[in-house]
Amino acid sequence: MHTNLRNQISGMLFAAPWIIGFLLFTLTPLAVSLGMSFTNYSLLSANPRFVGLDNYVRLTTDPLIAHSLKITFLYAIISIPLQLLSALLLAMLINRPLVGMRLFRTALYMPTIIPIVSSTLLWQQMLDVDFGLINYLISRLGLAPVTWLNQTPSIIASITLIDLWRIGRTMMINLAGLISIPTQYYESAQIDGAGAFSRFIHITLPLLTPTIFLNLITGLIGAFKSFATVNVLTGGGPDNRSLFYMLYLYRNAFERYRLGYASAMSLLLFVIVAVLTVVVFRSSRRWVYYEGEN
Amino acid sequence: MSPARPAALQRPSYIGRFFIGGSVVLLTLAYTFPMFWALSNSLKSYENLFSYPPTIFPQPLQWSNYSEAMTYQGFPFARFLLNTAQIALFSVTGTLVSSTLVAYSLARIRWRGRNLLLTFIILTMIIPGEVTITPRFMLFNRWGWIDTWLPLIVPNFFGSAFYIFLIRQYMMTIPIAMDESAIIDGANRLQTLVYVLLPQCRVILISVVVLALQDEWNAYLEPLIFINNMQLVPASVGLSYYSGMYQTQWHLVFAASTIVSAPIILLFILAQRYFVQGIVVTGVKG
Repeated sequence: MHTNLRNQISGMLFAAPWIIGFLLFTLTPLAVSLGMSFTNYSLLSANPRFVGLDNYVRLTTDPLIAHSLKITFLYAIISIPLQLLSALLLAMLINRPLVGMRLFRTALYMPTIIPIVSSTLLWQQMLDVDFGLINYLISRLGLAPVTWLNQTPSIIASITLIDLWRIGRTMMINLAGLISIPTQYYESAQIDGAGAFSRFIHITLPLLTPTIFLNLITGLIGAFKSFATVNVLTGGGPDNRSLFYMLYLYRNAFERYRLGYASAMSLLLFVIVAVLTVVVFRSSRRWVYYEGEN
Repeated sequence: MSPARPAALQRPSYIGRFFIGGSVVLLTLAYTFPMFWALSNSLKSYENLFSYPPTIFPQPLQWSNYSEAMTYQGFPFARFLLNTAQIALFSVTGTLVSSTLVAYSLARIRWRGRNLLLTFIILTMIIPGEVTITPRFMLFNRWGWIDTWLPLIVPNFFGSAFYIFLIRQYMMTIPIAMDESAIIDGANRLQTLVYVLLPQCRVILISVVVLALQDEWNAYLEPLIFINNMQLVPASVGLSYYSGMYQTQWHLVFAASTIVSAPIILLFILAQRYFVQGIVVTGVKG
């Protein structure tokens, strides 16, 4: 009886930092955001005024909102499947017993270690139209040079390329998933005469679906909040052609100081991410396999 | 590390092994080449960077790029680096201590509501910090925190959902018997955590330190917004100044990038044995 109470108190005490931090740095800001989104709050004018749903109405009429959302969705649709696929293939490759595999694992993971601003600057120089290494290689193949950082599709392709180079973390999570699959499954499948492809389809893939599910969720959130790479690479330009949603939010909040409008934009971002996550969670019942359920 | 496989699986056909080995080697070359390229560029002269066809091995090696990058007029790069190191020291310590305390509560203490809290912590991982960046700016502005390191450091002292989850998962794999006998011997909760449990959690704690340091080296949006004073900016934001220059001094960009990346790469190489093990043991299944 006495220990129960003591456990209750010490449990809550040890957990207190997170609860306080959540209230201070997540819940309060969310509430402030909601309040501010009904005002024309700006750092430039002294007293904010209640404007009702004006900011939300403007979200639907501002052409750059639709524009930046389109670019961000396009990026998500192109980048995420490619990331999931490459991370899976790479993880399967480095799961093989091969001499020097630890070295290969480290090498493939290494690009993720490089600070994002550094690696983006590196790719910016490699993607340069006239002097970049990529166009040099393309010209050696006898093809015309590509102006990588000029049009929306080629900018999205460039960022996806950088993402695939920085795939290490997702690859490692997949590797962890692969290693945790019991080898007995493979042994008995082999005794039954299942080939490599059949083993992949009937054992590896189903048992890895929880991992892929996790990677899909993180990938989705990552795509919608992406900022650093594109801001360093193009700054949203030229001519807003790579204006990702977060870049437009940043501009409104911290370049034009329209904090009320930016608050409404933040909440829209929150709703989009939440809805997509719920959709993926609901779909997971159909394709994610949990051991012990079947 | 990988479990022993049956003979038939360990030895696929020679053609298969050749194909797999070949792809791994090719991919490794492709993934490491850009890093080698950055290193090579950091030793080229400005003109040499724009030569066509590109030079792979610069002649002569222009080591002065490094000293020039550190002393470049108007960009106190040594200052930026020192800032990153100091911010990282406080932030990583804060994250590590607070996340461990919360993880301990969730893994070891029986109290009503702990499973609910765990679910809730995991759920909050889907709220990107970007969503709250505008209101946080307003709050920090009101508190007088803008243009200080406080917005970058203080929130780390309240635990990070992801690291809490990782440490908690790891603690769950450690048998509880030793904790319980320590408690019976009269140790309090904090003593049990520090002297009994933590030594066994070395692998995951090192992994968390590496990941948290990586976060610090990558931090970009928050310092960009919360700090305007150039003397206080961390290296990540400082680096981006180089690209915003009227005419980008690419040879200095590469030298500076290499300097920024070197410590974190070195650390990873030193810790990688623990790091991979930490991620693999923890796994991803709840």
